[in-house]
Amino acid sequence: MSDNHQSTHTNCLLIHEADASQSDSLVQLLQAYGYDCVAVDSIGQVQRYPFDDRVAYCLLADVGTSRHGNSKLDDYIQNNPQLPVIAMSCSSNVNMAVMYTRMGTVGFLSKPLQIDSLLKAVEDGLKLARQIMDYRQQRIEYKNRLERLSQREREVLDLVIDGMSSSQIARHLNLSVKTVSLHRTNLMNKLEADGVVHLVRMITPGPIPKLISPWQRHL
Amino acid sequence: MSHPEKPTNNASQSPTSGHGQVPGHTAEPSDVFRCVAEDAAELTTPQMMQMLSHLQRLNLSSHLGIGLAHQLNHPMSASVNYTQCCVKKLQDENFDRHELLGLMQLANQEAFRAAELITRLRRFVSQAVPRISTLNFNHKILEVVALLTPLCKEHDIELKLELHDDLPAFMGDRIQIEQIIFNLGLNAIQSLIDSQMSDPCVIIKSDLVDDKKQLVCHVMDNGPGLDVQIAPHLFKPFQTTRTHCLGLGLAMSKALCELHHGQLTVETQRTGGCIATLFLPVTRTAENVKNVS
Repeated sequence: MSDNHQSTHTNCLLIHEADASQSDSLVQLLQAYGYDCVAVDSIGQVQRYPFDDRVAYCLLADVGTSRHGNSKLDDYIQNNPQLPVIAMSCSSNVNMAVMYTRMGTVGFLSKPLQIDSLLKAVEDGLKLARQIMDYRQQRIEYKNRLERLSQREREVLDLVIDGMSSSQIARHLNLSVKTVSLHRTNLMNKLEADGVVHLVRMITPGPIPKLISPWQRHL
Repeated sequence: MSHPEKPTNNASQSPTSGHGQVPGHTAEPSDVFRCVAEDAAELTTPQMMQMLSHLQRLNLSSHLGIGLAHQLNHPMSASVNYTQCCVKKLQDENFDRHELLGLMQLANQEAFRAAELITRLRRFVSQAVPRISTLNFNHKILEVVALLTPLCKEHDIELKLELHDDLPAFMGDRIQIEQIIFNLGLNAIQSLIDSQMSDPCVIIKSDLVDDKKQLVCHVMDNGPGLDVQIAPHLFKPFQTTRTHCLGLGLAMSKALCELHHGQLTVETQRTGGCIATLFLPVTRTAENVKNVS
C-alpha cells in the first residue's frame, strides 16, 4: 500500500550504556555484525537526536539496577512508542524485566550480553522500527492525498465514511445524485482508493505497530 | 579509652530463665552479650583489637553486597563484548591484525578492572597483622571511595571528593586507616539511604590544619543529622538506630583512631546533615604509634 516503500532500508542503533567502556565495546561488537551505531550519553541526547525519516532506529539502553526504574528513561519509553527500545541491565531481576516488557520494550537483556539474544532483540527492534517507519510514511502519504481534495469533495468523503449512500448524501447536501456521484468518482481518483474500506483506512489511523510475540500470532 | 557503663541489671534476661531450660544450655544469652559488650569496650588488648577490627571489616563488606556485584558486572560485560567482537571478526575472516589486537587488549584491560575491584575488597577484609608504614592520606581515601562508589551508584547518591593536593606522608596501618574512613563514609551513606532525602550527597574532604601538624578528613552528608537520643552514646559499642547494623562502626573507628594518636568527632552541621571529622597527627614515627603492631 505504501508507494514510497524503499527496498533497501538503512538502520541505526542508538546505544545508551552505563559507562564508557561498555558503550565502546557494544558499539564495536554491533559494528562487527554490520550495524550502524551511535553512542549517546543521556536521554536528553536521544530526545534531541536528528532522526531521519528514512532510517530505522532502535535504542539499546542500560536501565540500571534500581527496582524503582530509571524515571527519565521510563518516561521517554512510554511517551515515544515510535522508537523501539531494548532494555539492558546487569541485574536479572524478574520484576524489572516484567516492568520494562509491559512498558513495551522489544527485549530485556541481562548483562553480560549473550550474543544470540542480543542479535535477536536487535533484529526484532529493527523489524518493528521498519514497520513503524512504513506506517508513518503511509500516514504522511494519505495526508498528502487528502489535501488534494476540494472542500466539497471532503464533505462528500466524510459522509461516505459515515455510511451514507449517494442518494442520501445528495439529499443531505442539496445536490443532485449525479453531482454527488461525480464528486465520489473524483475523490476516489484523487485519493487513489480501491474502495470505501480503503477510504476509512485513510481517515482513521490504525494503531502504531507493536512487537507481536510468537504466541500472539496464533490468536 | 573510657569504659561505657556496664549492664547492671538482668532486665535483658530471657523470661524463661529459671525454668524449662534446655539441657546442656549453660550460658544465658544475656551473659553472652554482656561478655561481648565488655570485651568490645576493652579494645585495649592488641589481639582483641585486631580480631574485632577484622570482624567489623567483614561486617562492613557485607553492606557492599549487591552494589559491588553490579559494579563487577560492568567491566565483565565490556570484556565479554570485546571478546565476542573478536570471535565474530575471526569467524568472518575479515579482520585487521592491529584492530584485533586492540580489541583483545581492551578485553584484557576490562577483565583486570574487575579483578582490581576484587583484590581491593579482599585486601580490605583480609586478616592481616597490623603493620605501620608510610602512607599517603589521599590514596587511602581514594581506596575507600573505590569500595563505596558502587553502593552510592546503586542508591543514586552523589559522592564528591575535595582532596588537598599537597599532603605530607604519615605513619599508620593501611587497613585500619581505611577502616576508619570506610566507617565514616558508610555511616553517611546509610543515613542518606534510610532518610530518603532528595539529592543525597556525600562529600569527602582532606585537609592539612594546625600549622601543618594534623591531617584532617571530613565526611559530610546532607542527611537528617544525628539522632538526639543516640548522640550522647555515639562512640559506645552496640549503640545503633539501624536494625541491620552491629553498632560497632564508630566505637571501632574511635579506638583505631586513638591507636594512631588521632581524634574523631561527629557532629550535626548547622546546615543540617552530619559531619564526621578524623584528625591524624603528621609527625608520627613507627615507635610512636602504640600497640598497633
